[in-house]
Amino acid sequence: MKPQDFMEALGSVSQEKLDALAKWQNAKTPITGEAPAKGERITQTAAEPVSAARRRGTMKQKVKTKASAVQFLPWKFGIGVAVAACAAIAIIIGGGIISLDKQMQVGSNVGTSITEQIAESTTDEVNAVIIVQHEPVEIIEKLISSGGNDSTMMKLPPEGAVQVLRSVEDAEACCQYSDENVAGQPFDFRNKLTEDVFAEYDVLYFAFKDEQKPQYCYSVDLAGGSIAADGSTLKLDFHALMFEPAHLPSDWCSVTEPDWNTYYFYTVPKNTLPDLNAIELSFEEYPLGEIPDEILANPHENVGVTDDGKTIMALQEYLETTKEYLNWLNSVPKPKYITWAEDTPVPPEDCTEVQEISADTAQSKQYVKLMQEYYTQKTGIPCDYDFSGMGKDLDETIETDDASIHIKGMVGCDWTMFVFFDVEPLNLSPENTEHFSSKSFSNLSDNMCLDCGILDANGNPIHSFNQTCRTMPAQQSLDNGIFHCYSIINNHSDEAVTGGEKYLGIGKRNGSGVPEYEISIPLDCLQSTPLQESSLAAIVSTFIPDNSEQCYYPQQMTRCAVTPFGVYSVSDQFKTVQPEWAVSCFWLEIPLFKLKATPLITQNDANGSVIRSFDLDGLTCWGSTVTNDTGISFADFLFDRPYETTKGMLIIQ
Amino acid sequence: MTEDEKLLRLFQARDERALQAAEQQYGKLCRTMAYRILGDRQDAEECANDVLMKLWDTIPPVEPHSLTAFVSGITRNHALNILRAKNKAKRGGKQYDAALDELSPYLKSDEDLEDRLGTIALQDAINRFLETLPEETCMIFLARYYSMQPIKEIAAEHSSTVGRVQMILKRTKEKLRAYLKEEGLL
Repeated sequence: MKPQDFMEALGSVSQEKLDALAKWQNAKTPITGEAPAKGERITQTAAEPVSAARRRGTMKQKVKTKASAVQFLPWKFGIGVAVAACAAIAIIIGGGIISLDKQMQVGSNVGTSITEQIAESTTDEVNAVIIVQHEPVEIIEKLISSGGNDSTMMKLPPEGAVQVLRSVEDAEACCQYSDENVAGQPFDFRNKLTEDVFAEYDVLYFAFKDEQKPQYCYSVDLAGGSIAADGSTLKLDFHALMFEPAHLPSDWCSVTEPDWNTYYFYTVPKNTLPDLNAIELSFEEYPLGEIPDEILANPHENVGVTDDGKTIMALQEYLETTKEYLNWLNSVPKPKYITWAEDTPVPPEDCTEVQEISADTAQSKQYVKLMQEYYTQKTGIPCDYDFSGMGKDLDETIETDDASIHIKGMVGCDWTMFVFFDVEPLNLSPENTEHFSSKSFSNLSDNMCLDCGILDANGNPIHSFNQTCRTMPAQQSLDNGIFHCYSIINNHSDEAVTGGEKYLGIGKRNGSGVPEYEISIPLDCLQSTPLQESSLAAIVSTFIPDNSEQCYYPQQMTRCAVTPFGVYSVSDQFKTVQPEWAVSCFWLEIPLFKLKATPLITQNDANGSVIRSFDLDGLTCWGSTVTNDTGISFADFLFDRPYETTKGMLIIQ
Repeated sequence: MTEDEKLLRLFQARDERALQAAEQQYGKLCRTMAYRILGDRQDAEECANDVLMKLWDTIPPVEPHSLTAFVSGITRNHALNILRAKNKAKRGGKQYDAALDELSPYLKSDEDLEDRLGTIALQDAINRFLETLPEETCMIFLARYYSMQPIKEIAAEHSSTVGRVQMILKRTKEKLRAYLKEEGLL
């Protein structure tokens, strides 16, 4: 059978199906994904609530990402690592601090590109999983919190209890913890766990024995929690206000009674938490200072019986003015969140998106190795930075009269893109062989340069079709007749590359910009690294010839993007009379006011200690780009090794 | 009364305004689908005109339940006929070729399906296979290989990603291959 036979036979599809197709196409019904057959791996849309997916049985694997992060985590092959995070980053330049108040969403589009990359794979074996994003769950409102004498009627197991209540029925079942055979007020809060509440929220319920709290604890407050690697254990963090035992009168009840329980009901956004079945408690202790005797006078009678509560009230009034108490109070975060266990890929079922990746795709991230090799050769220090999700493997060959060019991969972000390729010179004369075996690739690129740039949907170049092809930093000679090369594409504008239909163009263009040969590759793999508002003291002063006048345009850098490759900063737009102009100066000594001639660049921790320092890459540059009558100035700091955008502060001085 | 019902009334009344209304309502659909198969705008235009005349010839007596489905069916078959007649079956429109390329790894067989009996068996098997698919999967499969809608367009129109649609199609083609093998057609 030929595919044509199938296509023709498909024309006889039943009218019923065609009606349904027309209806489906007109309705533009969102694709939800089929329920998988038993044993089949599945995908789930990011929009679908986790628990809903679990209930309908579509989640086969889970891996989780750390809180607040957009991240890929390694699964079976250890292929992915955090590529992005929401981290507050501060840049200090020229002694000033520039805070990037908005969180860096470095990996915001990674899911899509990786997803598509993965999906494009046609291999049959599917045995790895990638996760995209996991948001922390806000603990919205405390509905009920209680303890004390009444709580003794709870039928609570010694290890405590936890449950995500999703309906009144769940709440009814939960309230079966009450032991109605015991005299007194039963543990029953069904009047607060109503249909109205469940229409809008789920309710996180947890309870534990008072003896699980630290001894001599006066009060606890929930600080947040996290879901453990097993996906079903809730780790709760409390801040505990502690008496010093020595300061506690001997007849004061220990505050923790063995029969008492503490229980909480918090509203949480619907369908954001997985089913939970175990809790672990941790208490961060905040010691109280010595309590004056007059405050604690005759405490046992008052506290235990609460007949007049004078001691409690006196203690409370006293505490409200003490530093220790206020420290404890202020230590409790508001709002509170349930996050997800950090750094550990967990086996089970909860994530906001699971995508499949083929074994071949997982193992063949050549672009990661190429980028690592680039930095390793650059500095001589092995680079293990994981560039997963920041590029794609390529396998394209261009044959010219002079060379065979094999394009192997690309890595990049909105502002800087690396393309890696091998050049095998053909028909080399002895002179040329000797020449090509030199360190420099410049003459080779003159002869058979490979222009690289970004094309729009119509194939028109929009960013840097240039000839910055170079051999890999450490290559000294032909490697079995091959030059291992790279090219850097710079986007020296203030418009991100991601977000539209763009292509990587590789080939050769004549002087008029017309391609003599060219391949174009969909750019669906780049990191989104948006410019953030900043108030850099730095100024780039660019010379632009305006109508033969010599004009300098000193511009303050007002926005910047911190990427694994460096820092790209731009000015606001300004007007010139020069319609088209671009100047890029590849000097390490960027004439930024208030900076040293060769800036000192470090990554510091919160205490100001230097984690690592960076040198500038020789392709660091500054300049201006003018389109029509509007220009921007830029300073493009490229680092000699990748920068961890999620850690500490970047200091340039 | 819906637009389709009004249009059907015009055809049934043999009112020539039916052609104009059909052109307005379904001209674009015809041309788009024909172009996906033929890869030539002029051919697609002619095909679309032919389809309108076929509608005139067939309604009445035919009373299609869904005009969209009916029009797309006629368009598809007619475009394939044109392609065959022009001996372009090897390389046609971009989407048609892409669809063939996508199906090729799953449907390649040494045996030709020349005889009429074989074609009927295949048609029957396809219809039965489609019945085994979940509704949404079936629609995606038909949108791609019946309507020859680009994957990107399917994803965009149905709030999904290209990767996801591709994955669904890939799985479905694997199932199709297995199904046709079982049926002895591969």
